[in-house]
Amino acid sequence: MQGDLLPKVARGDRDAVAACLDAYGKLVWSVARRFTSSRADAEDSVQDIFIDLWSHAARFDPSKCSEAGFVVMVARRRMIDKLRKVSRHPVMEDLSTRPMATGDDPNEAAETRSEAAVAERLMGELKPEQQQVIRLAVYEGSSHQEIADLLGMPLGTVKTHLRRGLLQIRAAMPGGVR
Amino acid sequence: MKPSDRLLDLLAARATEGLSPEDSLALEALLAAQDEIDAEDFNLAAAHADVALQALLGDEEPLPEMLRARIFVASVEHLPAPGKAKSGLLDWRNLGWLAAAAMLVLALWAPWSRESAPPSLAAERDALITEASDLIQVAWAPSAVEGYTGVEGDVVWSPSRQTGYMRFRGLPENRPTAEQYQLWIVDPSRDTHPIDGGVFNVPADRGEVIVPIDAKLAVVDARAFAVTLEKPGGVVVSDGPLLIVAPIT
Repeated sequence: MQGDLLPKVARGDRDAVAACLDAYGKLVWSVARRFTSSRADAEDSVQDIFIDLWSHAARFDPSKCSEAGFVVMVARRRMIDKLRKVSRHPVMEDLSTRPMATGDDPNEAAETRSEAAVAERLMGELKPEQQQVIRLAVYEGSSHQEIADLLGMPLGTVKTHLRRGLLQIRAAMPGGVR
Repeated sequence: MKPSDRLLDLLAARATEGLSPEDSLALEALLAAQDEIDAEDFNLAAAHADVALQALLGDEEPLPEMLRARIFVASVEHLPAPGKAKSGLLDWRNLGWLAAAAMLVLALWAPWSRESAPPSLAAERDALITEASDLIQVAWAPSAVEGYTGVEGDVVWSPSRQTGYMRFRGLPENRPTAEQYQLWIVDPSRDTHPIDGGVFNVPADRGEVIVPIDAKLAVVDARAFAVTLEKPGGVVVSDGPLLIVAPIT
């Protein structure tokens, strides 16, 4: 069952590894593709992320976050560290014209859809400016200065929107601070 | 102490664009001075925002199947052994006591353990079929090679466990000192040559023979299993005819 896979992985359960790849492969693949400039880099990165995930699996605490959130956190941290090492920002495909999703993927696990639905609701509760800044910073990998230039906002305002928006999301998550 | 905006900005920056070495040091110092906020809070918030945006923006590309298989094979090598105990607790001074205790345990258990034989290959094969969620089971295709036209049976293989068994009925006896059967696993993702699946013998007068697969390399994407007859010990690359084949369709 999704949600208790990582503790099983931490105990060396190979079936749980396969289930994890099925449940979270798409999420991690998305992160890797957005943070890399080539498909080959993305493929290598996904493998590194999952190996990293297995070694951190025992640290997953369901009282603090969902399993999907933990997996994506490990993926993002790995990619951000990697980019920092090569001193450049992510070269991402232009996502601004991508249409909104129109329906559920029938192959996707119900719990992942539920997880996404909760996260979407959280995003929807943010102010439009916060949504815009978080989308650019989190999803499109723009630096804070790039966002300031793009939106014509002072850098301090960008940081404030990002800080408050992320705090609001965290507060609504399991174990969140308010 | 309430976290400062400077601390929160650094946490937000770490979760989105990363930090310079100088900012990382500054963050560590600020975190050490307060206990109101968990250092991972912003990373988790950014991760949840990422999940939401993937759904909102329709990021639907699945993990490529070949990549999934490659990661799985690599992953198996990095997993802890199931039920592996923590090491490092042994005190050499206790070894004498431990040895005595071990002898006592062996003395108590030996008569019983001799009665419990290891599971047969048939039982191990049945267990794999029951337990493996990703089991591949394929039949040997009818062979046109003289002497092998009546061979029947199948192959079961679990990619996640890298374990499998061949089952034969009607495979002719071989003379181990002159020749041995050798299994080959066709895996185009690994190499142009098939993977050596191990050598085996077939004794006379056995109705059904079960042989464990002994793949010498990790199998990522098996497409077929094939058997040849080779010199004793097998060969690295076979040029012999494929006696029987079990294609995975």
